[in-house]
Amino acid sequence: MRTMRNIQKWKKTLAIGAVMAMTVASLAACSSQSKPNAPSSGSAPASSAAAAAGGQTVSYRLGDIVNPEQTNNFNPFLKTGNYAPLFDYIYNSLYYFNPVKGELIPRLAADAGTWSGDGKSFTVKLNSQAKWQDGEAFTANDVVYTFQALKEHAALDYYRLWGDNRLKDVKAAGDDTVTFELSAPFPSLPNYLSTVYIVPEHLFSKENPETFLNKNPIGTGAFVFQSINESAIILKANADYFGGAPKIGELVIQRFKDSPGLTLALQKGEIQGSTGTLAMPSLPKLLENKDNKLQQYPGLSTYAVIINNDKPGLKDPIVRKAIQLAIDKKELVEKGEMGAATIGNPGFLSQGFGDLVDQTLLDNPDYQTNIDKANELLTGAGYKKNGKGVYEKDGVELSFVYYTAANAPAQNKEAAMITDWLSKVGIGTTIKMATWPELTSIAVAGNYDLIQNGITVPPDPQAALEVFHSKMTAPIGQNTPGLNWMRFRDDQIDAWLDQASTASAADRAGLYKQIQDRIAELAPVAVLYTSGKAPYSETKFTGYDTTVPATSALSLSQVTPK
Amino acid sequence: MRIQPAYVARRVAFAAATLLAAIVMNFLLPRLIAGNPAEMIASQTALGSPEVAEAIKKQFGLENDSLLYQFKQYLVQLAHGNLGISYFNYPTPVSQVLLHALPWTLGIVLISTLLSYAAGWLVGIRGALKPGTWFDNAALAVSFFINSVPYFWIGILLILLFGYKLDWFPMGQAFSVEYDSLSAAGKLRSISYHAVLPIVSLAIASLASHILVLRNNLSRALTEDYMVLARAKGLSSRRRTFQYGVRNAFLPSFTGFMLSLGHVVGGAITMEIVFSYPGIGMLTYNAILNHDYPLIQGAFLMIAASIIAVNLLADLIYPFIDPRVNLD
Repeated sequence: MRTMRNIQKWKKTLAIGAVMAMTVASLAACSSQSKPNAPSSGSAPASSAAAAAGGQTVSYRLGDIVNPEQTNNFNPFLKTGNYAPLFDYIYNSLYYFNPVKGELIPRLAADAGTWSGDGKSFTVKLNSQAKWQDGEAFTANDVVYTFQALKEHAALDYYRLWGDNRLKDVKAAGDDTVTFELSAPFPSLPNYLSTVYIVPEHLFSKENPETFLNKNPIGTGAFVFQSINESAIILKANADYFGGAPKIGELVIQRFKDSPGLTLALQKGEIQGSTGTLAMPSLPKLLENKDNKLQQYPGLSTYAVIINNDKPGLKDPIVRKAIQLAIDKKELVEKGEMGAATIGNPGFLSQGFGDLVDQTLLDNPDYQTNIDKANELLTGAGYKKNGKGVYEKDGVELSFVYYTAANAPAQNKEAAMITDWLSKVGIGTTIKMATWPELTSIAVAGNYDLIQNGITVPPDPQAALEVFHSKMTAPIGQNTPGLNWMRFRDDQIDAWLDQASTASAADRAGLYKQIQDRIAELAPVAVLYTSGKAPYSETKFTGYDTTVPATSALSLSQVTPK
Repeated sequence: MRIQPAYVARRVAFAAATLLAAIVMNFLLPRLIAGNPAEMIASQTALGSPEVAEAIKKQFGLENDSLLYQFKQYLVQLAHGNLGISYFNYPTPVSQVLLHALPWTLGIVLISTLLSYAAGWLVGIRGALKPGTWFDNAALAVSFFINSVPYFWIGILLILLFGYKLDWFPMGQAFSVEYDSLSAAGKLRSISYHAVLPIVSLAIASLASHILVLRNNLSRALTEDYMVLARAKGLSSRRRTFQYGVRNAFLPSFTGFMLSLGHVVGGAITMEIVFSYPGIGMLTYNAILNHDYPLIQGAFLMIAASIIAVNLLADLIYPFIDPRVNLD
């Protein structure tokens, strides 16, 4: 009797459990996102990298943090509402900026392009092999349409290509040639051409590019958009890709909400790579498996202690110099970034810009860690230590608020190291934490003393150095019009930058070296390291191209299953 | 039992006033965050181009800085049932963005809330009825332990044990990446399978307080004078326990339960981060970080409205559970 009752009780419990599971499933099923190209039936591969043999799709899984607001549109013109790295796999620009070598690789362009004698016209021959994923021909009209759209919609022209002294007209010469006409010489143009994905005129011209959601993106890239849901973005190989059909059948971008979850999935072998997101404290554990690799390259993001040059105390270049000398960048990279970063150039320009970087600055003893020298500089400039061991002069104590990112263990560890070093040169700090967007917001408005944050620049050395142009800054309390969050102003640097903006390649190289030397000398910012990385696994796949980022479209189109 | 119309009118009026206050606060709070979203986007993405900032301001309807003008626009939109357009999901309406995330949150948080209260009440009642036994002592010890550890620790522990080491359950996401190619039954299985760890972790995390509240209230109720009187009247032990003891002890737990139901819509940010689960919590959190005013307002309004509605419902149900309330 009791057994019967027990069985009945269990049945009830199971029934309740089943009802609950069904409720969550049915509630959630109503919410699954649209899947324009999703296959209507068919079985899924049993594992992420199913064997190529047997007719099963070979699926490569890439992980990244993709938030819901990044899946609203697939319009490469828009800077919000989308997951920008996706465009690299679906679309192409005329040139690809390779952050590993700091070079431009022709994509939809057939060659490096030709400048006119006066530097006011740039002609690009197009890649005749390229075609749209829907079978339509790719022509010069698509390129012209893309750039004209930027002209007609100012909100989309992020780098002001149509601004004063820049583009005057973009013209097609036949089906396979495009000419960019300029109001004044603009030698950085090819670099900027790498920032604009070419869209198909036959689809975009029917829509308003400012509001077009482009839910079914059609590009010229190695992978074709298949579907998106709350767990992943699924792309399939483009068999007609002009660079050769990818050897993997499917590229799945698995969506995560944070880097520890992604890193654990990488460790478990659930995903085979990441576009760069990684929980740094887990790196040693990840690399215990010899098949897991971490590709490291300079990249375009420079991490630094951003100094507010308008704040009392920090206005003095001697104080900024002391901050620069206090920081042991080598130890910071080794202990904070687990060795997975490139020591920064005191002249700011990332080593990703190759020959244009003043390499001598990296080994120059004037910019190596030297606590004694920092103390000497400060005492020599009249600063005296007070009872707290902090230097002061004319009533101004060298005591500052130091902002660092919240929920970023590696950044917090580095902040602790840096503030400890600063205390050794008599500079006091109070650490405050803020979220990444808040850090940017504080930096833009200028309400800070010191911020440990990254500065990401466009793939153009001129733009990278123009971060320090006085036209890119604003007084404290006003938002800066550019990335000069430091509120740094120097007439000499402004003049050199203005001169370089229209100079010949050889003259520019010389000017850039002078600018870097002056930045290093005046220390408007204390550069820490640059951080470009791509973790990937060779457990199931091989053939990564590490002359470009290992998980970029160019590399993944070459990857083969083991 | 008849419910007093005056009581109902008072409760409804209070709910309406609260909703109005919520709407005003809802408008003001996001604007207290420093920074203009258009300028922030321009600074981050366009080397600070003022032309781009102006164009984005126009796009977002922020060209007029006057708060009064923006409040008027907000009220007019609300009156038309329009929550506006999300900046970072531009040009998708806020209501669409919220409705897309809501089912995931409702599914997980509602089920875990129900499970957690059901289990908490059962354990709490049993503990109070058999105080000092090994069951009661173990339940108390476990409850105090769970109560003192943060939720993310429980979540990560479950992931490491059942997802990473034993590989019994997925480490995250709402369903498998093959979801689109699965049959209807397969989709259902995939969603249920992926929901197990998030539901269990949320249920465990809130279980302790439910156990402790009901156990302590019931222990106190069982020693009240009316329990002695009931015994003297010769009422059965079962009737004394459940109709006199549990019913009285249950009142604070019922209030807590209704409040929890109101918060179901708000989601569980930590769970969503730890399990990479889609839902309202992360949506709201990201909207705050992005200064997406319309989405922040829409999400907060939805959360406020649901809490107010469930509270009103609780107020209306309360006289049936505790007749003293209706006499106010």
